[in-house]
Amino acid sequence: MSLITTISNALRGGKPNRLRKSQDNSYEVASQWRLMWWKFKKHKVALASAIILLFFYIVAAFCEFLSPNLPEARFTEYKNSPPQKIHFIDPQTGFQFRPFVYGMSAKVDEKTFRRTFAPDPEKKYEIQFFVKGESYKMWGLIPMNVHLFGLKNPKDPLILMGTDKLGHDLFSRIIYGGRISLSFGLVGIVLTLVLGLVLGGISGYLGGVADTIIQRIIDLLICIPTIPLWMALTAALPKGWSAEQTYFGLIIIFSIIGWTGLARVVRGKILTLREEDFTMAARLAGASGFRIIRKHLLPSFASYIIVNVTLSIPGTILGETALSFIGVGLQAPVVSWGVLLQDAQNLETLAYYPWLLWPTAFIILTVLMFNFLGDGLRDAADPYK
Amino acid sequence: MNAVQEESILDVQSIKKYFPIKKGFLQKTIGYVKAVDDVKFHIRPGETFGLVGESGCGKTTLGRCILRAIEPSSGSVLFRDRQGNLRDVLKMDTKDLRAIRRDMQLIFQDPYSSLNPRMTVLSIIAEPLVCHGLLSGDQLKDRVKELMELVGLNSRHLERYPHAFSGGQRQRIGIARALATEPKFIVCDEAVSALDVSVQAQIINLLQDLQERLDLSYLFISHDLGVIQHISNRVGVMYVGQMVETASSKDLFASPKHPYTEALLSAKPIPDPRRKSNRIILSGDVANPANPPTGCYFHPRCPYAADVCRKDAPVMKQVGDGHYAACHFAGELKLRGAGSLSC
Amino acid sequence: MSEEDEIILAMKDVKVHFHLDEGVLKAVDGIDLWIKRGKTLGIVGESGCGKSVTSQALLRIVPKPGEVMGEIKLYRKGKDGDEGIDLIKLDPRGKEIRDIRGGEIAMIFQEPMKAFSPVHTIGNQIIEAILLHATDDKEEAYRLGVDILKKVGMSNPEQRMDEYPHQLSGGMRQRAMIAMALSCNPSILIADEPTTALDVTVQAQVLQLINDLKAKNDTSVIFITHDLGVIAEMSDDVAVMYLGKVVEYTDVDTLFHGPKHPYTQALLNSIPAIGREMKRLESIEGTVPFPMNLPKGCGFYSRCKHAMEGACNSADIPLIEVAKGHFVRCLLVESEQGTTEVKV
Repeated sequence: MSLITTISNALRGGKPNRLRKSQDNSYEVASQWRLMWWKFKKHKVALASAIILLFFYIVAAFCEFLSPNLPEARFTEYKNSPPQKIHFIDPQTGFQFRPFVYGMSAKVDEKTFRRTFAPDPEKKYEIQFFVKGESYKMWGLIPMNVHLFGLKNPKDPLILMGTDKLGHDLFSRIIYGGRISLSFGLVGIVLTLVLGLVLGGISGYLGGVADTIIQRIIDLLICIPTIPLWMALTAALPKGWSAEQTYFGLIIIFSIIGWTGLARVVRGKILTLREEDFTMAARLAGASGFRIIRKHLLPSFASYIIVNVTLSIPGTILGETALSFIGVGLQAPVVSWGVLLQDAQNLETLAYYPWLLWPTAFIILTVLMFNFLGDGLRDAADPYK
Repeated sequence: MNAVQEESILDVQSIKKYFPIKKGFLQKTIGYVKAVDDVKFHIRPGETFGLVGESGCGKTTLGRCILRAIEPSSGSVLFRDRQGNLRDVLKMDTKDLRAIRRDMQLIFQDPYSSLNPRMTVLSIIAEPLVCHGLLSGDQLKDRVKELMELVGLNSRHLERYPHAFSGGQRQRIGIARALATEPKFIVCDEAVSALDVSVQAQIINLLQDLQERLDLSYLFISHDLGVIQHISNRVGVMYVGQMVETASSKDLFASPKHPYTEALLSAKPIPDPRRKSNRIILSGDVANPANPPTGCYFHPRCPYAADVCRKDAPVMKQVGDGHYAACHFAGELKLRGAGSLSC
Repeated sequence: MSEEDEIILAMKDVKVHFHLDEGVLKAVDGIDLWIKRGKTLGIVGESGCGKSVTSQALLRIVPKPGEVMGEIKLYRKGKDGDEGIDLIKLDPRGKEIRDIRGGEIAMIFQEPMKAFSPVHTIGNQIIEAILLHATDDKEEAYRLGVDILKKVGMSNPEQRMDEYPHQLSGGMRQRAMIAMALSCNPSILIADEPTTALDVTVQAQVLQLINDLKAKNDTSVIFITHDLGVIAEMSDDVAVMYLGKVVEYTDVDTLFHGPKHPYTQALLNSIPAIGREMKRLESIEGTVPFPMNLPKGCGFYSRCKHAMEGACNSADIPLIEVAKGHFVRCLLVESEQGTTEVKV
């Protein structure tokens, strides 16, 4: 809810008071956004998706605080360890409110030399909340050392989703990776949005030669298969770039290719809206071109743009994941869901260490939620039908 | 300047609107759709000029050309501004045009698409006032309230959105918007066609009341002969982009001089079962304006067509006091008017 | 109603209710109508009065979530002494109703463009209809198709058979539509605003065509329109509908020269008609209420000039037979006539 209302209030030029004042006979004075919200509310799946996504993004925003371990922390005794189970019942002392985990003891198979882990009841670690652990910088700025939960001694292992071959805690890394992957979708769409709006707007509003040129460029870009093009462009990024530079470099690459769909939507919408009687009425009322765009055209297709953007975010996330997975996108030590999946590239790992697939679950969930959300928004986008 | 111009508020001279037909890869122009072809008429202050014709005859295009909502191909539209000077709307630059639009407005057919659903009634009606920088703040709000009451809307519904109103009420909003800048001349483009009969009567009455109170001149475009006869002082009949007959409403309905007008009058069903007419049923359809017939455009459907009609296009000629018809036999044929339909 | 008229369709207390989230929308709320052989029943009313939904109920094509109640007895031709078959009891997707649709009852719509498939030729679509109902022989069907196109006044019917709907003009398309509807010799033709989208000169052609065909084939027509001029032209009997109810039902002459219901009277006075000089139109104040959560009593109460507080808005108004074959749903008429309530 809050996502939509914030966007809508921002677009309305911030007049939230009026909405609140008139809740009683609200249908008559319900603005476009309010009608959309009523319609959206009926789409329960989309509503649930919005809430889950919001939760994901909050987790990603506070990943330093929410993850028990640092992403680079290694439990050298616990390489490729399976996830720990959380317990509440101690066989000796019975039920306790404070959850705890058991440490693992490794055993080496004499024939295959593969290490297998088993919980060791001797090593009982109680989970503490708001515990002082490894120090970190919140958002890279504020030095802190409090974690939402963790073990008293940060050297002790808390590996809720297992570890990788270097002994990294996968749970913490997924939370950190979420920050990169999820933000990539949002930040990546900003540039796409700007490009799509400007170029689609020019194409639709001016028409003529500008329209033809932009349309032909779009045709050309759509013809090129995306993955090879992504790969070619990413390969062109300088090797010496820092993690941040690569991140934004990738975003630019995605936007250069991704704006075409949005530009077409914008152009099509402008072409139909220009023919609407109310646009002509505004012109006859003496409105300037700028006023018509600002007061009539933009508010009319803002909702369609939100829908379109929502539906193209998962594409960007998947693109980043794909590139990182095949090793041309973001690189370790940067942690993203795609980078994490690099460890799950061969059958052997999947057979012996299936927990390495955990990032996939989050990717699927995110993409699915975005699609449900987009579906709901699309149904609500035109409340006047 | 002749006598007609002397007194008229609007004088349309030889206005033409040709839409090019483009074809092929290079978009070469291969012909023109003559949507409006050399139309002349004038409107006097306080008068309603009815424009009637079937779909595709160019009446809507003509209305919009006069307001320069679409750019005519040639001709001139002389319009009397607030200073009392006749000025050619088609020769005005953007600034002058914006200024003159205070004085000429349009009421649309579709009460749904003509109001932006995302704006409140207040901002819809206020838009012309805001755009012309005439009023602001509380004065603006008061003026909008005044306008709403003028057209019979409850002025407390200022903050409502169009979706809260019925078709008739929406049309009232559209009328209030057109009246906001106190124009002298309004084009009503099928302003009542989309409305239910009972509501249609309300809006027609409203338009007539407003005309009386505010001294408005209307160009009333409609396909409905009943409405046209009721509201107009003078009437022009259009067929395939051309004006075929203009006359005072009384003359036109009582004794039409063009066979097309006669056919139109007799085709209109009369709400009285005792007056079932022996109809003139025209054969065929309205001519295609992209590929009109030779000579008189009406000759393939005309029951009186002769050889000359196939060869030469007729010109407008005077057949009575202020009564003009574009027919080779205008005045010679004995045509039936609406009155003679009763049995 | 005169006894010699053979009734072929009788609607008894037909209701169509749409169950929506916001409440029950009573599109049609208890109407009784009779359709006589070879006669035209005109149904007139403003938008939202339920006239189109009534025709949809006859063919059982009411869109979801509509629910049809009541009884529609169809007396099929060639079955004398037939008790008639209740269309409402039929499965809306069953074989029987599909036989009746197009076979017994055919329909023509306002927008012929929407009723035709744009990807098949006119011929294909007409032949398909004929194959469904009349014959199994393809060549015979083609011949019948050409015949019917000729009957509706299409020039070169053989050529038209191979044309697509968009190649025809509006009037021609409406003719093709009528041809398709008539291809199986239906006993009832429902015409739902068939000329509203047409120009007056073309409308005149189509109206004449429908009248000619009706006379020739002894077809009954249900003619739905909002245009009182067309009603006067076409109908034998007229039902005036308002808010899902029939408010006046009589023969066409009485309707135009002795209307009893205030709504009918106001409606007749509100149309600007040629040859009738009027300084001012009589308008009906306000607008048609939304047919949901309506107050008790007469639906026209809020707009009626003669409304009586406490009487008109207290209970539902019954349909009264004020003269033979003249039914009115109004308390004013009841008080002056003192006639008995009609039993149907």
